[in-house]
Amino acid sequence: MSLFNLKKDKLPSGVTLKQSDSGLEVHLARSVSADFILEAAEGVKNYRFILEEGARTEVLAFTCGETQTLATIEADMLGKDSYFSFKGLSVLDDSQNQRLKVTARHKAPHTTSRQLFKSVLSEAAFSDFETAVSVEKGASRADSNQLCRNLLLSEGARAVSRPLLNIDNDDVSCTHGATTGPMEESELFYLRSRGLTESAAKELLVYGFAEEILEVVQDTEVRSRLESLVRAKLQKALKR
Amino acid sequence: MLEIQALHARIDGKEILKGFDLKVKAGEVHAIMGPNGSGKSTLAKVLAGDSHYEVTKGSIRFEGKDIASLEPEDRALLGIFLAFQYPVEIPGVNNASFLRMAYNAKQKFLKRTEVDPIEFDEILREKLKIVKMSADFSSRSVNHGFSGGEKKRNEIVQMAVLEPKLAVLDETDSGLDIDALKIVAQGINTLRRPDNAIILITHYQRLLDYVKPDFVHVLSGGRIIRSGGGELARELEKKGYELIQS
Amino acid sequence: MSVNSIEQFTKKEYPYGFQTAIETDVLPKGLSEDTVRQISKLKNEPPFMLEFRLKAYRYWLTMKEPHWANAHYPAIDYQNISYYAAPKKKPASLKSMDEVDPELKRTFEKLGIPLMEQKKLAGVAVDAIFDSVSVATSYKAKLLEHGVIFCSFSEAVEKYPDLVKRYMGSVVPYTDNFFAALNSAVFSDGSFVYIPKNTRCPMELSSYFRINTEGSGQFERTLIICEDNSFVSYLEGCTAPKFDSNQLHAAVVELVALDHAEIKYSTVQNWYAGDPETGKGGIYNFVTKRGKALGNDSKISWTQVETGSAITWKYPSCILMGDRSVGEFYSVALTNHHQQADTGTKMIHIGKNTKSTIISKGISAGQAVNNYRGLVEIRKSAVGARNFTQCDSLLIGSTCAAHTFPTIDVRQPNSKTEHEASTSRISDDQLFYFRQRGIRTEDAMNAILNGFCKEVFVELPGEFAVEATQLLGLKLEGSVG
Repeated sequence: MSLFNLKKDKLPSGVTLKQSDSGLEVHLARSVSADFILEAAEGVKNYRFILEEGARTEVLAFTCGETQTLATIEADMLGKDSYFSFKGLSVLDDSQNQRLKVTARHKAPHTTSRQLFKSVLSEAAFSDFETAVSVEKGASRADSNQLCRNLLLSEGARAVSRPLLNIDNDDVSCTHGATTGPMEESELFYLRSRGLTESAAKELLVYGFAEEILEVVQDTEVRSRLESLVRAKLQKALKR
Repeated sequence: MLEIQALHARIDGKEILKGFDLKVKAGEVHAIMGPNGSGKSTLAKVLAGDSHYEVTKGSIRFEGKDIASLEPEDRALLGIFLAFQYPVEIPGVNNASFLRMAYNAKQKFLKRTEVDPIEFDEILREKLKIVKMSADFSSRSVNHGFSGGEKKRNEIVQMAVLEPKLAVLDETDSGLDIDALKIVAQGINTLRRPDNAIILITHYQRLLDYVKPDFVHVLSGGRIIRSGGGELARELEKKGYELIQS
Repeated sequence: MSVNSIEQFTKKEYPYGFQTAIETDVLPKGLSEDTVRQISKLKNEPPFMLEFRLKAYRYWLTMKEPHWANAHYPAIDYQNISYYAAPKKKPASLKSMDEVDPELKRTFEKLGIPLMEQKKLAGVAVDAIFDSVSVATSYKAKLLEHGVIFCSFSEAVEKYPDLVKRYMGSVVPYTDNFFAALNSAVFSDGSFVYIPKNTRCPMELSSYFRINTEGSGQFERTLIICEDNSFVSYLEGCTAPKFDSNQLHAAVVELVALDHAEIKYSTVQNWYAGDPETGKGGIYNFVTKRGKALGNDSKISWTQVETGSAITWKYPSCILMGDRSVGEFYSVALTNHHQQADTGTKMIHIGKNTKSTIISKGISAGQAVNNYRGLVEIRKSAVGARNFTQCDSLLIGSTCAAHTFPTIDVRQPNSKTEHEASTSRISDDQLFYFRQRGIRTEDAMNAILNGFCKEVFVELPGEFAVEATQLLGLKLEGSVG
């Protein structure tokens, strides 16, 4: 499965786009499977993914270097057995700020949603990430998972996480989690005990933290572009 | 001990058991074999009193008493035990506490004194040995984080603690590797007594190599189409269900 | 009564629904500056207290009632409430328990609250508040021997005005929120606790609030001060009779812990939740509870078991100012029938190396809605702060709902916050498993619920853990049809 960039690539069959007042609507027809990468620099700020029966999508959102980002990503799982996965990575420094809101709505039985968001914030960067999962009546056997992890590298940075759950159905399995913190001392120590310098160790760890998101990008060209952006940003951040 | 006559049962409006008969006496081990969809699990659930299933015709008598209208817990207290095919997980509820509750419910029913956690711990320790379950069992939650094999062994531990008169083992062998199977079979054999009876519901003949049944019945289309001794199981294994059915 | 399925599991007659026939002074309904003055006069308060009330009242007039809670209720008519009701036989300076109105004594006995020192609940001192006044405080003299002051708030205003002046409003200023302002203007009575330095309070302290008069609101005010190196464990309990109209309960609780001090505050709340069919008549419970861990190495823990009010709005919070101070919040919130709960906590980390733990267990059944709202704020100054939050919801039946709205705001990189949440249900399969082992549905439910709430119950003092366990079972008998 290759990742489609919503703006540039030709869309696979079964996927239709519609521009509305509230943003860009991406409709996936029955059993259609397509993944997307959203780069915040592109101007369209709101996305809504509509999934019919059996449709599957993984959406990657990438923010690295934009001064201000304000975006909402929604997924409506209208058909049963549909699957929505979101992976987000934000690497911000300076006084860049971001407000990102991702909402997964389970509206049919046997639907699955996954959300993983990671941020690396340095200098005076600010990230406000809201992840919401709602399970409506009738959406039995909903299975959802959210995880939000923020890595703060300097004193001026700030991370706000809002993991919300709205459950109106008892037949669900939902878990979510959020962690914020600095780099793990024990991990740093381990690398240094194997001969790496402190800065090399830090770089390795922070890069590894971000890589979990980037590794889903199968298009090598896109991936290496993103990776070098992240690498440059992180090197700058870690010089402090 | 158990007498089922012309039993018809259905779920969601669909009839699964269509005239099922069975007689089980104390001291006997009966094996019920059949292809998927024949009604094996339905039989187990109906005997245990699962309300999703509706008995439309026929009777179930346990020790002479008609139990078709009894609640699950009442049947359990009378001495009927079901080892589930898919034992459910109950996180937060401790294994030892759960078993003690069940044990005491039975003690109370039989007008005997209930036991406290310390007394029960001793009883449990002995029973855990029967299926080689480690002592940390007591500190874990019911089936939570248990492997498939451990869940099945847990069912046998419970059977050992509650000492039922009639144990219905619903595909206890499914999903087990040969080593786990041997341990479970050994456990079952240890619990055989002249005053209790066991019904083994199974798809494969494997288990029956270790737990030798007195009677083997073939279940197909919701009723028993053939009965025989242990050798019937081997015949099934060789010929498969289709040939037997014709 | 045999209970056979989840649906039949929750419906117990509220056992405290009776009303006590006793002569009561009741202020006519309505709220104006005059009402405030009257209340102060009826209580014989010194001028500073009246000043405080008036300032709060005037401020309240400028405020708007908050409506952002995810709950729906008919608007409260503040003019249709009586702001003061007290038993006629004024217990102002009771020398002994014998002077307490026998009818009152009987009421509290019926509620299982021991006023008589002989029938003590394993050495727990009780301050009993009936409608707007404290009617009795047991063990007062004995506690004074240790330097511990445990009396009604009104008595503290009279006897220990300096302490009251210094600390009242220091944790919850009247400007804080709408209900805090209202409470500061019309608060009736409550408990006052002062533990001097280096003292471990020799017994558990308890307050018991009982609303008896229909149409009255209850606005109690509690202040607990724990000086250096001291410890106190305090338990709050409350009940109210069944009425047709809803009752308003807007309380303020302030806790102050100095260096190395620890305050443990537990609540087992069993209000009338309203008619199971219609939801009418329950208590509107709006409470501002906050603890200031002022001193270094101080600790404040909130433990609560909430089993019902028509609407609950409360967020016991901790302001962790002292370095290495600790804040804890353990909660089981049970909503059934038509109840709505909007509850949660706030942990504000200001000092260095502060630590907070939040364990919230929500159980919803019937058509109830259970909301958790949490805020963990790690300010820039809170170097080395740590937070762990676990937020679990258990849904029983298919018509209830659970919503969680946590916010984690971190401004200090050298800190760690971890938040975990999960949603689960009691399935028919789980119940059937118990039943096939000879255990009745009721007992099965109790076992599963207790397994779910274990981490919170273990924090409750002594026999209240047992009480909480039983209470959960009682409250859940016979749920949705």
